[in-house]
Amino acid sequence: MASQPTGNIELLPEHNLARYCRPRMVSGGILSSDAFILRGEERFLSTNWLEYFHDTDRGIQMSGVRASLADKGFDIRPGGRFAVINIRLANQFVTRVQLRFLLLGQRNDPSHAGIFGYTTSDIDVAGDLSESVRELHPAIP
Amino acid sequence: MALASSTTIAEISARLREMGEGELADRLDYLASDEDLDPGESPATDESARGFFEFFTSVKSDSKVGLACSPEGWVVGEWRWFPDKRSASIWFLDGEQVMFTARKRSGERVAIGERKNFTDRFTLAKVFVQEGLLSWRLSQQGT
Repeated sequence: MASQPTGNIELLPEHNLARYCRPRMVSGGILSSDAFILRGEERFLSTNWLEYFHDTDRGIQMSGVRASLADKGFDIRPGGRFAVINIRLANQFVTRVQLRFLLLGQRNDPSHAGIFGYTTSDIDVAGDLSESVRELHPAIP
Repeated sequence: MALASSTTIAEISARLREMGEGELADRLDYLASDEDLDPGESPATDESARGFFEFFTSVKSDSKVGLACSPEGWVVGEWRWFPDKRSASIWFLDGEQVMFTARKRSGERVAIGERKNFTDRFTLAKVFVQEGLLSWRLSQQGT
């Protein structure tokens, strides 16, 4: 059963999230659905809220995400990509379940956000999310 | 194109190159290597690659194919370059079993039986052909 988080800030349809995707997940500029599958005990898909860093400038937003993940000791690989998930677009693709996009805000990563509302067995939702992605950015510029 | 159960990824890559699929062979070699592996992740397994190869050589498509690899070592085939709403992601769990998500020409998701996203690769190929996602290659037609 999908988790029902409480006490976090609900993000808006016009907001965007970045999901780090390992080099093994990206083939010919296309992102594998595997990048959006929840695994094991994961209750949500881990992402970063881009508008936390700047309202509109994608370059500043992506630099902020890279710095945040580096601060957390996250191992970002040169061939990796950041997928940008627009919440409105994601909701147009994912229709079988109701997703929630929440700002979780950790002390060492205030932009940390999660996509809730699906489970490890919702393969189709992972596929829908990957199809909704319209932007990929290099993990290391 | 039946493979022996001992066929390795290196042998499968060689077969792909013989077929003129050098890009896929290179990608498979990369996925079978330790390059870019995170702790706890597995490189692509031989049995998963066999499943992909058998599926790939049984069907043809107007989409090119991309390859990824799950942390479990499952090869993931991505048919995502269709000119319409069709798409397919297939995880080859071993030589026979697959997990998948796919969209028909109408945009509707494909589901098979009670398990919806899990089946064997021959059933998946048959359903995909029936739904117009892919077509049989060579002598598979009508089987």
